[in-house]
Amino acid sequence: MKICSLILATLLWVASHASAQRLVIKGSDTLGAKLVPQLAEEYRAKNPGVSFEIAAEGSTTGIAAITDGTAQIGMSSRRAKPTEVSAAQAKGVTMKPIIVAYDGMAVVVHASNPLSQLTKRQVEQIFTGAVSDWSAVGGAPGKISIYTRNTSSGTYSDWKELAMNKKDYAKSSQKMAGNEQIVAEVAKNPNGIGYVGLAYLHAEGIKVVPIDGHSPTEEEVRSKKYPYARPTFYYTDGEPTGETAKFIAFTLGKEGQSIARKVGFVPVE
Amino acid sequence: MNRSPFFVAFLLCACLGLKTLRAQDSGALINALVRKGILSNQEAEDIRAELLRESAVVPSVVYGGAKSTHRLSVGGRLQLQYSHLDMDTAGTALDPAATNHVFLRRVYLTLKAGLGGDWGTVLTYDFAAAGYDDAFIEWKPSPDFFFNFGLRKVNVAYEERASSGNIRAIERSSLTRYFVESNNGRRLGAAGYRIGAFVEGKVGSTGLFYNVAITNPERSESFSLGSSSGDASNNRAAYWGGIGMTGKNGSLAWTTGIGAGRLPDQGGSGTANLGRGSDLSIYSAYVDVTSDRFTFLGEYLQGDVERGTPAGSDAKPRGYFLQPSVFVTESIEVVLRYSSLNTDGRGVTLADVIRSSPTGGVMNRSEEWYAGANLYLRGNDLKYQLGVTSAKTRETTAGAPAEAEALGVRSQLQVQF
Repeated sequence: MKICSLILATLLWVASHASAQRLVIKGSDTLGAKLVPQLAEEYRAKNPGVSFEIAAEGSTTGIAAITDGTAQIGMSSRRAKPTEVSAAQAKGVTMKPIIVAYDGMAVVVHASNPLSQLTKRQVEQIFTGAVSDWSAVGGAPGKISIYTRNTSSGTYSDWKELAMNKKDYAKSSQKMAGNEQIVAEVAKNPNGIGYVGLAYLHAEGIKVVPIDGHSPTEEEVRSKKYPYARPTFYYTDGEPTGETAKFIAFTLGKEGQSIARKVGFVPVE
Repeated sequence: MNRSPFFVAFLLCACLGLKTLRAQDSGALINALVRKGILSNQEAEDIRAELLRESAVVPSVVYGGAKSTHRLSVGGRLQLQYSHLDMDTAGTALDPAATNHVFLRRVYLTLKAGLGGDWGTVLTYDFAAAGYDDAFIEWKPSPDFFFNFGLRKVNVAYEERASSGNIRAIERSSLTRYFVESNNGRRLGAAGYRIGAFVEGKVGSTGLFYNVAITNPERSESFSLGSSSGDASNNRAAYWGGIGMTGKNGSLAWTTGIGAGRLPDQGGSGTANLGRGSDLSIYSAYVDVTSDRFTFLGEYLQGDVERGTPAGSDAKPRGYFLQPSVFVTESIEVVLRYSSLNTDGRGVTLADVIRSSPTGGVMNRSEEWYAGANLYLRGNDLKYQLGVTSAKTRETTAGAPAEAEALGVRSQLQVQF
């Protein structure tokens, strides 16, 4: 009897917590490591009844979460693939993309690297493994260590498309869980090279390499002169409603976009 | 923006109206419209998404059979297994015949339906075992917790609850089999499939999760048990509960927790003593850690079985397993496992704990070693597994020296859709 009472009490406690407003946001590490947590914090300060669960494990997981109905918002640093849209449609889910901010994927090397710039061609050669020594691209001799994101990352596939002509990554490349890990590894390794979003360029020990004379500044990213510029997205199942719609409106509003700029992204307008 | 409405309408019709136009083909046109200021970036994204939906090839179409079904998905799992297990029993002139067989280990068909209003249902039928794996109604009033009513596995014994599609060592450990597989007078038949009410949830973003359940006491895995209205051996409910934490730090992810089950009247030695006042309890503690290419899974299980030995004394069977694994390439994973069990006088045979193995006599302790590799051909959806299994039982339940060994290979091909 005591056990029954305990279980009943547990069920009632659980049920009483069900009414709280909760937004589940999953997906891109680029968005979910810094920007979205800050947006959520600010939003919660204005809306105390709302709580957030944010999981930043890669864009693929965000798009899958919308398809599976396990999140209200999927964060993605890439567009949904045709196969993902098909899978969503098969489950009756309509993928709705919403541009959150713009990002530039910056090429970073160790701060001591004498390299002053790279061409798009050289970047492709380095990341595909066609070139494996810095001396081949005008740097000091040394074996190039490549750091990339992991395969569930939208940045991983965006980089392949934008910088590598869809070729495969070099076999020697090392896959990192997030932007911060790439920055940390490159900062430790004088022969390291990687790519990270704009929000991660202020770390010590790294420097940004201009590409064909273009740097990932706000102006260059917005005008798309910087070759590795891209939009970042929220994905929802159809038109967002309720608290989800309110949070998206907050993200795209003046305050949200100001936070985006402060974190290092380029605002939508 | 300087737009001519007719010009924009014409261009959009051109994009959306042409059935043969593929989404990627229209990318340049959309980009040009954005550059000219005719479309905003968001409008361009909406059009891209619409074109993608228009041109998407829906991989499969399923229609619901009832009016309120708004989502229906179909899934399946096929596991084709080969086992070769040879046996050596100490002190006997003639050992049992070896097992050498190919068989369908699992043939699952899963239907999941969403009924709206947070309600849904899951039906999974295993054609290989001729019984249900899942058959429950789900109510999920919040992303944080849900209720299941019907047949499923209880959330005690971590390895047992994990999907059979993700077992790295082909079969679950001998420890889990002893505690979970159907009660035959030695194995306990605790955890695993039960019919009842289940609640699971998590506490915000703290990583804390919990589960409780009230179920029938007996394990259900066939039509007859699933539809049984019960008898004197199983007329008292079983209670289950668990709590755990999960976390992530960079590439390091971990889950750890404890669980317990109380099964009144399900103790005693031999199945004839069920329903005669001897109770059974089970306790588990586990840890599951992943870091980059490395995974470690370990679990400790203990039981309290009233009058659980053939001599009529209480038994506390207990044991643990340790299972490290590592991806040596992107698609090849190496797995090792060690499992140890002390039945505290209740008894165990090799056939109780090693699937497809000959029996080898009733003993008090068992150990199992597994070493193998998994080749992920299409991720976990198409994989091939191959491993060597070695197991030993020793010491009679009265403590006298005895030993039996089984050694063999096992391999499995799995497809999921």
